[in-house]
Amino acid sequence: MPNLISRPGPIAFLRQAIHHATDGGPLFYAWMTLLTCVALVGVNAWANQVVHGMQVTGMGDHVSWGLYISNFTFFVGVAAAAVMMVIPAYLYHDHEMHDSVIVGELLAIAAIVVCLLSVTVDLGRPDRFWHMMPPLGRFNWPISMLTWDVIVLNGYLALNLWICAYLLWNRWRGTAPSPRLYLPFVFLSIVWAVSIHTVTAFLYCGLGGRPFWNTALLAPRFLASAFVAGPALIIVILLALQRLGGYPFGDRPIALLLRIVRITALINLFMLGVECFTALYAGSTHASSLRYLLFGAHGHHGLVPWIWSAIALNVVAAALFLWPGLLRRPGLLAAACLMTFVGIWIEKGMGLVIPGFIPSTLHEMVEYSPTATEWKITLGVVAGGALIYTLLLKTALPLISGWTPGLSVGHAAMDAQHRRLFEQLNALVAAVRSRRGAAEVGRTLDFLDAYVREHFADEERLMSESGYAGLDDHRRMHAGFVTELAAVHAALSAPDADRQAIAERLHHAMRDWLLHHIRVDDRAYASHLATRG
Amino acid sequence: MTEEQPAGMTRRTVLKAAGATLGAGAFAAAIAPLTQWKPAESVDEFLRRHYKELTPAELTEICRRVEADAKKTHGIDVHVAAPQPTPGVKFGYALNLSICVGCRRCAEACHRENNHDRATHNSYIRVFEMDNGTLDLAHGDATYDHPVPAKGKYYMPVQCHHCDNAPCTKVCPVEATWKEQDGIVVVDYNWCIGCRYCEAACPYHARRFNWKKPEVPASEINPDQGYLSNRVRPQGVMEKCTFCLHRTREGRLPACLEACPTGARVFGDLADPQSEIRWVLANKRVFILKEDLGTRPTFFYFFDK
Repeated sequence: MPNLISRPGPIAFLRQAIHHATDGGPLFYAWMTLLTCVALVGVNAWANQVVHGMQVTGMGDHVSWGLYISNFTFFVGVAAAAVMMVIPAYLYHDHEMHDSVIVGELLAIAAIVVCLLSVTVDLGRPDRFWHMMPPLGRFNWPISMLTWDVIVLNGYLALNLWICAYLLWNRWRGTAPSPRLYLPFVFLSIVWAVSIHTVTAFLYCGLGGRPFWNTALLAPRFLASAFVAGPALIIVILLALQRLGGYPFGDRPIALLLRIVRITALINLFMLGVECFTALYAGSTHASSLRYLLFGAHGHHGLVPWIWSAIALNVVAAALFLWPGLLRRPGLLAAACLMTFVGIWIEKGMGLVIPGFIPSTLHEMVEYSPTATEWKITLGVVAGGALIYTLLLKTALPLISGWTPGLSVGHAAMDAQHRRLFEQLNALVAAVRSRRGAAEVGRTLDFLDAYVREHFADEERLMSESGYAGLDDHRRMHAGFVTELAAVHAALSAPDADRQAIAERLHHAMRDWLLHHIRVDDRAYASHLATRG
Repeated sequence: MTEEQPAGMTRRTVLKAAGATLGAGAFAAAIAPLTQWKPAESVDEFLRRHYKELTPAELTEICRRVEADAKKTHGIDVHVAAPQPTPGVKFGYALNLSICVGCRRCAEACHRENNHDRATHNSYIRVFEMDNGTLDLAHGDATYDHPVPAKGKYYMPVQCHHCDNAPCTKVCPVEATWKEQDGIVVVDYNWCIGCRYCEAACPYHARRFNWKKPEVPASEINPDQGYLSNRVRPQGVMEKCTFCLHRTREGRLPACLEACPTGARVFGDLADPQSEIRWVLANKRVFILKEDLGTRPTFFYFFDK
């Protein structure tokens, strides 16, 4: 039977995306307004910096990179950390990760935007960026590590944009994505994620004149700290989305990420210790930057408070991560994650980029502290990234969990009921996953149960009235779903119910069933209705 | 619900449009300072190709343009030349630490010769006062302010070492800095994007960035200028010692050498076996700063006694 229901096109997709991205409650608008204001303050500070020159920063010929490049280095790590969700989701088919992996992938996109903006605001001549682009410009590849960084960062951005856009587009249209068109890119993005932070480390450790950076441990350290800060940020985002947005991701993705940071936080601290021992024990003059950083030197102590704050934050967070009860205390978990996020931000910037310049290559002690302009621009860049990330999430998350126009069967009443079914199923999963009381779960389940029966009855009546030949088959499928729902009900009422497992079964078995049923079986009768006019 | 939705949507859409308009207006206001910015004097200058791609005729035309700009901006006549390296010549510099007295006249001469910004008192040379008995710069001080030479001290001026294996040219993402045939490391001020990676890479603190537009009173501007050397630099680009190529490529000596009252500085052609610098390298106790880094400088230090 020909399928007469047309699939919606890209224009409708964009309209829907814009609608989703810009629609929300008061909290959403307040958040967007705040980010916009901070970003605009940054834009204004940058415009002034361009006009008056980089003299408005705290940098100089001795410390010639500051907050911008520190922030750039840090956010490369955040972008790379998406891989910690991509690997379990795609490589090990971890179902719990499958819903939330998009949170990591979109974060990678936003983080790369932050990186590219951070480098742009650091340029003395942003008007000449095209000098880097052949054939007009000259690209000093392969000898300049900066050109490698340009390639890997933009490549990583393109990979993640493609994967997210392709999967969301298919999900929206109700079509099955072709694995050939995204899986190779997913696997490539895993290797690529490691490359972006390795190449960024090579920017520094390749410089023989800066002994503080000139260590083979730099790339491993960068990766270890990235796999602390990145997953920590994703945990906070998942907690916030669950709490504020009502998205039922459940504990499992968070538990997995927590297992990752539990280890990486320790590895990161271990590497810092190894670095300190190697430099300090031998007592060579190559350790002068490290000595200045940790203890101050020649009466200069500018970075000492920064690094010890970072160490304290990272040690306390690492200890909290080890505590088995942390998962049950979302507030404390978020606090620990934020602590280590800030700790690593300091460690990468004030603890690594800046001390590479102090003392200078001629051993002069010139200290650095960022000016108000630098803080404004840096916060503006981060706010810009957060703005983009919020819009991306607002577009993607409803697509992933709910009914989309691609699932339309061309019958307004049935579409409305399908949409409602998804909402009810999501509400049930959310109730079970968030460990709400049995009474509430029971209520949600009762409601879903009643609604399913009502919807199936309506649908079957419609088929019968129109003389649809596949009615008996369709009835059997409906009955199967009702039985499955009853089984879930029974399992949940058992005194020793593994509610987490039930939630996952609900979420995947039932939602997948519903998706498939609407996409294939319902469209068949919808075509039938359409031919009858 | 479905009846109310269109009206609600419309109101919401209007509010969203108003918000977007407000945002766009605020963005325009935030970015407004850029209207005061004049990054290039002309479209031609903005679209200029890389120095190495210019024909001699184009280069001459560009030099005339820089002269015209100087006339327009400062009301003075300057001469801008683009002297090319002489095949077979390889410049080198040697500095006699036994007789340098730390008077900093070289640094001052550099400041004036190269049209450095007056307010920041920039120079390509930093002179370190060192304790006798050590070559470790950690014991040096470049900010000394007392009569020289001081007892128990010796003096070590540091400037660009024009390395044969130069870390700065390697790291430049746009090839805005390179080593010329005669060994001089130069910067194309009109090609540099100002990322300052070369400044991080240089082990000799030889590179300077134009954190602001350099300002020199018209009466003090050195009118004898080189396109790749001492013409007044734009804001936001790197610069460095060029062995005064506008002088040395025309057979004169660097300004720092001419200013030295003790004769501590020796400049010449490393490729010429009869040159004074070759005699110094063959007969004096010579050392190279940070030789272990493998940068292979063409700037040498030596001792008499």
